[in-house]
Amino acid sequence: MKEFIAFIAAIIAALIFTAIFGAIIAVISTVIASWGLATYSVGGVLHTSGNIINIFLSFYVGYKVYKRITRVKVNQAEE
Amino acid sequence: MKKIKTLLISFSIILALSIGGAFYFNSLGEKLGPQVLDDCFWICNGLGDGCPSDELEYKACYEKNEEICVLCKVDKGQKALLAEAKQEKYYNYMYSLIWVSFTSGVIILISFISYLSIKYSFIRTIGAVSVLWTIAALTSNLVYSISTFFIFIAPVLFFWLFRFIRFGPIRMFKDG
Repeated sequence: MKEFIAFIAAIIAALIFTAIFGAIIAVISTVIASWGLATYSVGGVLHTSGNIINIFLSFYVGYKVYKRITRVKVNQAEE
Repeated sequence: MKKIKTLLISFSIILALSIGGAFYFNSLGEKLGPQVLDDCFWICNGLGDGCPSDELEYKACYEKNEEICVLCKVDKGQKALLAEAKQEKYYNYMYSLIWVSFTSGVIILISFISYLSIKYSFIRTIGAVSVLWTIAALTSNLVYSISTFFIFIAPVLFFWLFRFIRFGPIRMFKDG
């Protein structure tokens, strides 16, 4: 049950992180393209690659949240 | 603590002076408005206004008005150019002062948060700032979609997410 709650919390944290980081990446890629550092088509590629990184990062954040919750629960059980 | 108080007081004075200065230069620039800059506007714009409908008479009237317009431009052109240059100078001062007031406002905000953090509690201050920040984001005109809302509250959410991962659900709300 504890693991299940931790898993749900991890999914929520990962989703929130993805939403925020995705929006930031969209802004950054558009800004880079508008500065003329890249064409708009390259800006699209930047956006796509940013989203791929975003997916991995959100998995990492979700994993860290899961570990943190389960670790706290284990510590409490030990006490 | 003394340094923060000094920062707060000195930048408050700078903020007040820069806002006052910006209003002052704005009013000076506004005084050099369209009346001064476009003295010949109504004469030159309504060249055919009030002229008779007869074609020949209309032509003569139009040409006469055109002459008056050219004379007006020659007469007032130099003055208008000077007024325009002056207005631009005043507006440049105003924009610089707006930047100064914006920067000092940000410094005052940071100093004030630091002051509260040191005097009371860091985490409670940041908590209050987070709540205010979220309310400001919700009520702001700049937030027009869920994406912009997420961008606005990103610092707050990342901070609390970091605290949660680093310290756990209980210790994240405690100082030290």
